[in-house]
Amino acid sequence: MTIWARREYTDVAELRGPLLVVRGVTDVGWDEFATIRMAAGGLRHGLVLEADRDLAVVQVFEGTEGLAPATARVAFSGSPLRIPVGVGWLGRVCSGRGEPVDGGPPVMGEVTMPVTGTPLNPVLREPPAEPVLTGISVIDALTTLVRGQKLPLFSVAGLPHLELAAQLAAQASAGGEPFSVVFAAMGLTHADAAAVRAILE
Amino acid sequence: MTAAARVARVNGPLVEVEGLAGAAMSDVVELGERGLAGEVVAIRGDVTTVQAYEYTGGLAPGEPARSLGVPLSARLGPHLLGGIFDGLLRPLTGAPTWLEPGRSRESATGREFRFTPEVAVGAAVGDGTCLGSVAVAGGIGYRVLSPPGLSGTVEEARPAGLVDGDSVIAVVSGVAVRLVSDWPVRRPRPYQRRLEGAAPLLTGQRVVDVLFPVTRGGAAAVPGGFGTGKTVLLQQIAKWCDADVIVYVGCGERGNELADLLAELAELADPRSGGRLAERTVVIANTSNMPMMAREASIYSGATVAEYFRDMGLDTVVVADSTSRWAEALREFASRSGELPAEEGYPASLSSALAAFYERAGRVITSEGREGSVTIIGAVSPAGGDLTEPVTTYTQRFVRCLWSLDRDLAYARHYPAVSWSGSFSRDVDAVAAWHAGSGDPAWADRRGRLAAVLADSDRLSSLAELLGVTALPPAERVTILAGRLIREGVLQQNALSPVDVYCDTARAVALASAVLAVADRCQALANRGVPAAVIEEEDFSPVLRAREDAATADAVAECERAMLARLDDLGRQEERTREEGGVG
Repeated sequence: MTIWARREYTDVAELRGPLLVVRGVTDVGWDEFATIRMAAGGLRHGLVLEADRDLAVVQVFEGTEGLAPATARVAFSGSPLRIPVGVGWLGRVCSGRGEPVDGGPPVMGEVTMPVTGTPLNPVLREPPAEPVLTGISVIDALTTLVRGQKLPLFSVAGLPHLELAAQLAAQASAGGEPFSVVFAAMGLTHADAAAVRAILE
Repeated sequence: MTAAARVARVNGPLVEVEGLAGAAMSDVVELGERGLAGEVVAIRGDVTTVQAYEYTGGLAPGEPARSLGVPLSARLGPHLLGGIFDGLLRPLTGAPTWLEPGRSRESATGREFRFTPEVAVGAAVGDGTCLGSVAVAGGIGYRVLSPPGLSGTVEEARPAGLVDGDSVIAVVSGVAVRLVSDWPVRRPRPYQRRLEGAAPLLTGQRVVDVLFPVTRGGAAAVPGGFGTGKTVLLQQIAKWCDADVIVYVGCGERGNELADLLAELAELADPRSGGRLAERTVVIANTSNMPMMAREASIYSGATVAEYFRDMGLDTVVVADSTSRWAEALREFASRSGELPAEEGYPASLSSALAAFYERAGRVITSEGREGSVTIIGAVSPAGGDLTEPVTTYTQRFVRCLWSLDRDLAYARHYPAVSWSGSFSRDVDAVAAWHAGSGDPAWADRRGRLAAVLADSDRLSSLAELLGVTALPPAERVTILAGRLIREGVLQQNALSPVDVYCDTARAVALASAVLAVADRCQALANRGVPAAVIEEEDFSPVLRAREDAATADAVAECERAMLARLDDLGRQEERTREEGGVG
């Protein structure tokens, strides 16, 4: 199988804040994943926020610092962001784009799935009934976590919500059935992220 | 030419199409190779703005677009009963597990129904003439009517037998009438005239039926902050109210709650037909993770389905949970299309959109000349429990009833947490007149007394908090007690108790009378000099437990007699003690 190089666009019309506007594009859809190559060789990533005739407005995840209209080259993936999924994820630490930050090889999977997900047909949902055992008695006894349910943890600065969340992730089980935990850390400080990794590892 | 129409700009659900000649406002447009459904919302020169009903990820400028030339329509027919649909009325039963964008709009009409004709060839047919009937479960008189605007003579009539949805059941002046019909969801279906006067819609929830009644053809809103029990109350009403057809619109709410409702509906026996309640329920599901813009349509689809059954002379109820999520969909699209934001970012048209929805409620004489009604009950979820936000304030103007859910009551485990001070019903007088005509002339007085005692009791309780209850005169202490008896003995209802989950009118009246009689007797004891503290210490459990223990009005009356006898004993005993004290 030949993998064709993605078409790269160089006509960057505007750079402002995290936004990059590229001109002269064809067949670029909304919400498509974009890769931006810099002159120095670095890679940035982004999403199409708006596709207007031959213009595409790209939100750059890593910020536009250092990008220059004359040298930036933008390629589009042809579809909304998809990541490989499978058992290869178990035990790994990755960035929000699914790229390893634990020094290991890229995560591989036989299938890829769109990160935006697809709504589940409500008719086929089972009403949640089976508990998740967290080993934290106040939760298990009073406000039981139920499989298939989602529960927020309301907190304010200074309270140990992160420790509780990490403890939940480390201890929870479904009574012997296959069970895995995905811990998504968003906007954590380095110290907090390191603490969570220490608890989970 | 339509074939040359191309997508020009995509920004989330806002899509601009160029070259879509001949498209009219509100027409359905199919976008891109996958044919994503959308609706025309603006036309400027050659550029048509389309609001897409599905996720537009991957849709690129240059892809084709096609106008269907018809406004967004609901496919109406007997297949709706017992079915579960998405916001565009596409069936979800039998749909794949994961709902990918671009599913077909065609409803599955493969089911067969037993049809009986009611017109013969040569008969004259006008607006809404009954052409035949279809046997459906749930004991509903399902009538197939000639579509609005069609009149003439019957040229062909289908004989009795099994038909499927696409079958032509009659040909009227050259126009084939099929079993299913399409109707634009945003256009109210016609009727002859609105009816004056009112009959209550009995919900089986005492606080509603006794204090804040809603009429058939009325509109009610249920505002309540997070966790106050809106969904539970609405689901109870959907399950127990005495309407013929219930349309439940789950609009932007959690999928797990909807799964719960579907499971319960499938299990609940229908008290009227002996079948399943689900057989006369239509569920429109647009959960919070399903496409946002289809949510905007789901409210109108629900109203259209209810009007369709109303036209057969049935009483229908639309339960919309929650209109706030629907308003948020309006807001999201308005901000993308660059509309000037009004209050809290909602479009300036929010109030007229809410009015257009709630005004579809009504009790009418249908085109055929029968009486039918659409009652609308909508939940409102104000962010942070703030009842001054735009959706709540506008909604209050257009509804006849407001059942305001109170956070303190909900957290005190008082279910249903309908606040008696924050709720209203503008139809109390009309419902009182109906009850008077149905053999209960005391209804208005009883309701008035309950409301007055609750208000007095609230006022005195706040006074007692400042001064201490012992500073109040005995009569006022007994009023506070009476308020507690009404709250615990009448207004609270146990949704888990088989006896108390539903309360018919006779039992509701008996419970209210019993509590008022007990309160009167306590007041009389206090007047005769029995100390208030002694009355307060009395065990009132016979009358407080009556709502869960006494299954019939007679049994409630029995509890009332037992409680009154106990109070009489208390009075006699107290007098004896005093006489002895006086002698000694």
